[in-house]
Order: sequence, then C-alpha cells, then structure tokens
Amino acid sequence: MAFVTANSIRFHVQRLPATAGAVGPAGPVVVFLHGLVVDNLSSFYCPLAVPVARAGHEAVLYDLRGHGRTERPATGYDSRTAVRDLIALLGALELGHRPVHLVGNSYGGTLALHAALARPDLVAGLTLLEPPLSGAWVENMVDTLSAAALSLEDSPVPAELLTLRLRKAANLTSTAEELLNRTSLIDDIAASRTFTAADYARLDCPTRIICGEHSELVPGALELARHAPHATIEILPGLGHDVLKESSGVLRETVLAHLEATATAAAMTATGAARTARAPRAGALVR
Amino acid sequence: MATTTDVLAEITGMLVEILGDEFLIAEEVTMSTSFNEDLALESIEFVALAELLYERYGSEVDLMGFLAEKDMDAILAMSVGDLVTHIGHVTRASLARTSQAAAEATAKATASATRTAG
Repeated sequence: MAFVTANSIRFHVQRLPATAGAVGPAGPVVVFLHGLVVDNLSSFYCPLAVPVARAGHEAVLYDLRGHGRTERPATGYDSRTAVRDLIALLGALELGHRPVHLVGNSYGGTLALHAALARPDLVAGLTLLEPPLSGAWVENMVDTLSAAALSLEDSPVPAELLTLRLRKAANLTSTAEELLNRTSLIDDIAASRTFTAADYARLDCPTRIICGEHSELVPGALELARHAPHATIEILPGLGHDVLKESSGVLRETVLAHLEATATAAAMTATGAARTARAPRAGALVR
Repeated sequence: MATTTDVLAEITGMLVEILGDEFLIAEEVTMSTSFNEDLALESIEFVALAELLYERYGSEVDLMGFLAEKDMDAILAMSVGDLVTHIGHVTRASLARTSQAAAEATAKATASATRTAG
C-alpha cells in the first residue's frame, strides 16, 4: 500500500510494522515528517524508521505534499494545510483513533509542532530534529529558495540527462524546479507565522528536541525547551544541521529512549495512573 | 525452492517496475550490477524496492534486520547479487526449517499412532 489519497492528494506512504518479538513496549504509532524541497521519506528509513519498527513501534513514513513520490499540486504548502494533510492521512490509514508520536526533521519538525499545538488530542509525543523556529530562519530560507528558483528557471533538465545513470541528478533538479517555480511553496513559507512563548507554554506532550552543536537553529530550539513544560533538549557535539545523516548511532539511542518513555507514559495515562489532569483538557480541545 | 536465478529474476522485475522500462531493460541487470554505480538508484527507489520485497517474501525474509546493520550509502553501494544472495540464503533456511518441522510432526504422529496401536 504505497499510495493513499487524503485531503484530495495522493500521498506516498510507507508503513513498517512493529517487528514481531521486539522487546520495546507497543507504544503510539510513530509518524515521520521530513524536511523541505530536496528531502523525502527515505532520509528516515535507515537511521530511524527501521530501528523504531524493530524496537516494537509501528513506523509510518510519508512524502509531504509536493515532495518525493507524493502528488505535487500548485498550492497548499502552508503549515495549516500540512496539518490538515497529516490529519486526513491518519484518518485514511485508520490511525486517527489514538494519539501518534510525531518525529520531524528540520521543517518537518516545525510542522510536527504545529500539529501538536493544533490537535493535542492526536499527538502523544514529539521528537524534533533541528526544527527551524525563528523568524530569521524564515527570511533566510525564503532568500535561499528564491535564489535557487531563479537559477533553476532557465535551466530545464536537458533531455540527454534522462538516461539511466543521470536520472538521479535529473530527478533532483526537476523536483526542485517544479516545487520552487511552479507551486506556492516559497510564498507559503514567507507568509508563515512564527511561534510565541505562549504557544510553547501550552505544548502539552513529552517533547524531545535534538540539535547539532554548530547549528544556527540552536537558539530557537532552546527557547522552545525553556517555555514548553514537557520539553527537553539534547545538543549533539560536533554536528551541524544534518543530525539525521551524521549521527545515526547516538540519534537512534536518544530517539528510542524518548519513544519508550512516551509509550510508558501513554500506557500509564490510559490506565488512569498518571497525568489525570491532562485528560479533560485534551478532550476539551477535540475539534 | 527459490534458486538464485529465480530471486535475481524477481528482483530484476521489481527494479524495472520501479525505474520504468524506458530506463531499464531486464537483460541489463546481473548479479554484479551495482545499485548506485550502475543503476543510479535513489534512496526513495530503494525504499520502494524494500516494500516490494516485503510484499513478496513477508517476514520470511528479515529484510529490516538485514537493513538495520547498514546506512543508505552502504545499501546503495551493494550489488543486486548481494541482495539476491541474502534473500536466497534466508528463503533456503526457512524452507529447511519448514521441512524439518514437517518431518518432526510426521515422526511424532507416527510414534503416537504406534503407541496407540500397541
């Protein structure tokens, strides 16, 4: 079942069932959200999704709207639509009946945070890898993407690139060109709203933030960790933005530990043994 | 029993399905064909291949266990033959286990029948 239609978009989805005999607790299903433009679900596959499934948690990966093998409509690249896409997809996969754990990388982390704030009833926990959270990031990213869009505009993929060996480069170029020049992605990012301390203060699920020591996104992540009541941050020494690719061992251990803690907390909540105050609040926010 | 030739033919068919027959014809794929060097397979295309392998062989082949020991660069550096060999080994071992279990069950039933008759 690689393709699922939700919110009128055909999404590329991969589900990795929890491996039989795994030792970890069967916690919430873990849903992965990747980063912008040249990214897709495959970045998570080896470093996190396979280990997560083998630890006993079902893993669900999907290509965001316009990315990877998912359909690429002209509009709808704002965070509000991304959250609607996620919710519709969970419904289509029949996963909407109990909260999931969201793992977001880079901009996927920002989207995961939007989802947890918009629908706390659907999100059991968050793992945010290098989430860009500041207004300065938005400005820089819009400048970078606009420059890339211009450079791609006059260089359509030459027909001679479309051979077996050069297909990879051709696909990368044409995906970026289409997303940047033929969709509202840049405008939608430019119009995005930044989070406030009040937003962070109402984030009511266990949240683990993981950043690279040399990343420019650390100050924004520290701000989230300071204000969100259940958030902790880990800064990985010697790394920059690409923690997913560069630190798979340490990252894997950290993410698995957080998932097990979240699963245990969710199990305790389900039996009414803990966080009893949360239940009515989450229930009141169901829309 | 799944032979190397059978598994190679099946994986080749999956690769042609993923890449499209305008880019890849089945005759081009051999045991020594490399995913990265020869096929320029993208990570997301390997994920699609993994999905087809899972659908075909199910949990009989512990594909995730095999992949868990590698990162994507190491996977794409493999040859088609590396994957064929892994699947061939696992399916043969699995068939051997099934045959052994069947033989043990037969022996048990025979022993039980003998006791009953005695």
